[in-house]
Amino acid sequence: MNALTPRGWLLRLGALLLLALLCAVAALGLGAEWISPRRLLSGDPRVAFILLDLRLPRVLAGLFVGGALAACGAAFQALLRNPLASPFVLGVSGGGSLGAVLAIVLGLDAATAWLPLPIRPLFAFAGCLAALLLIYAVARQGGRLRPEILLLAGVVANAFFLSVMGFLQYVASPHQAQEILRWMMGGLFGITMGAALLTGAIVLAGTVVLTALGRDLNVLSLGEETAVQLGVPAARVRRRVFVVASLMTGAAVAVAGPVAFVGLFVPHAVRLTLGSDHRLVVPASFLAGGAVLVLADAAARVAASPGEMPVGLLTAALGAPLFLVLLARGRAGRIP
Amino acid sequence: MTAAPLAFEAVRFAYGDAPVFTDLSFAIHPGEFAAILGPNGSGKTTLLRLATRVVRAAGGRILLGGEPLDGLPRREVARRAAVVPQEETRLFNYSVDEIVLMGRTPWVAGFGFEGGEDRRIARAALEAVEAEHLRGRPLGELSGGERQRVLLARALAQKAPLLLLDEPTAHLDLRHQVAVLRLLDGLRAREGLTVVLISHDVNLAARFAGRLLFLGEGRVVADGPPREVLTPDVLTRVYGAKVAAVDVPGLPAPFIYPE
Repeated sequence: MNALTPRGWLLRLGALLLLALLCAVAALGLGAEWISPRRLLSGDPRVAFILLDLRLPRVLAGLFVGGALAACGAAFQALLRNPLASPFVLGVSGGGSLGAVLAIVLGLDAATAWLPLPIRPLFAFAGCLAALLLIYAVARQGGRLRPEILLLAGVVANAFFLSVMGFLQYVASPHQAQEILRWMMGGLFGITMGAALLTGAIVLAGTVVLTALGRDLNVLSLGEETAVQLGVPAARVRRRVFVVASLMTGAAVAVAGPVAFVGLFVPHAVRLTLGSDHRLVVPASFLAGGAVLVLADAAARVAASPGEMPVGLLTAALGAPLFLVLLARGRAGRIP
Repeated sequence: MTAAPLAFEAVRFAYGDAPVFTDLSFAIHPGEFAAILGPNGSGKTTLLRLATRVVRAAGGRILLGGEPLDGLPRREVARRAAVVPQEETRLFNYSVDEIVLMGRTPWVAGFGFEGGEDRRIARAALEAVEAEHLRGRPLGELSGGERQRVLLARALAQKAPLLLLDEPTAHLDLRHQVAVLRLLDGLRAREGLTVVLISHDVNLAARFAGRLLFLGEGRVVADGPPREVLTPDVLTRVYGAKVAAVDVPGLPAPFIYPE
């Protein structure tokens, strides 16, 4: 049987981990100023400041955010049985964005500068949680989450959040409006080490849980009735995946905003190269998504040097055409 | 005397206000090849969903291997009854091996990997349906008949003594219909499985099944060996269409055709 074995699983994930770490090291060196591996070891305090205080949190955040979005995208695609699903279709990111926009419009960043953690990600995460609860409540009918209601509720909730954000942007000051626009593009600006590590803790724990549910996700993607008849408690699995993936998405969006496309594109690329077994697809998407976002962010930093460019612009600009190529070649999954 | 693999006792069920079963009772015996027939909407597929607790009965009792279905854990239900669906939508392009190994789900611990024994059982299941040559192929590349065999192999890999099939031949041509049913009959004889087949094709069912159950009006309206129940009288009552029966030499039961 040429199906997944523990050995093959470890080998593939090990190779991907190595790749992600290489990307991370390269991204540490790349930026407005190139820092070669030799200078890295020179003990120069300025180099240490750039690396440890500026770039390291950013690279870590890139790994965790890209990884979370891609792993959640893989899980949502299987959960909703829809290859077009991404972490953003279920409205959780919309709620998070609304939270962040509220924090911007209320001017909370400056007012709460004394807090140990920045307030905006906390508002964004709270927004994600509120959206999660709302959508869960709507889609839970007869003791189970109905995927078609989940999808529709998510899309509608997103539209609502967008309209409120539009209003807030309309009444905001020009400076705030600019800040909102930048946040909505998704980027890895000014992420503190604390925020990066907190995100990492949530995201890593979530990826472990989703990977453990990988086998159930495989069976669930065949259809709920088949899953039940194969002994999988489909309703319980669906609830867990939805809650865990939503929390991970919330943590990612809270620090980076809605970074486009990683969550849609990476899982499909992983399935094309490594097959569709979600025990592998979920953690592999995590590693590949992290690598992709870290590289894209480094590229964005170099391209806009010495300024800044939101990495969300780059992921959409590069990811969308690539995805179209895959679709045109008829290889990106099966559209039901 | 071993317990009946599947028994319904005065089962009631409704979708909302629309009653499906008002008083459904029957027992399937070990090693039997039984076909469930009946008009559209008579509840044939619902019967399978009740038997595997996809939906729960509103009243009465369902026994799986002699024990009340309600008290059995999900996995235990899947270890006692395996279902072959009519056809499955394909979302991701799983390979034949992956699909068949998913049949081991009720036996594999939580999120673990399948072990050597699971692989051996899956391979044997593919061999039993004469599809070992399909190993490693993506499911999306197979023909309808090949896919149906793979789904059957997945059900066999569940190692359940009871096999429930929901019109497994609905999308197959005549040759493949006969091939699948002959395969089922062989498995029943060789491995001692009990087979319950849902079918629309009265003649095909009568050719292979030793017992026909006709559903209608929320219960079993006729039950017995083909030769006894396949009468124009019963069929006209069940389907509401005028039919005739003619004896054909070599056939175990009369041939039924619309008048």
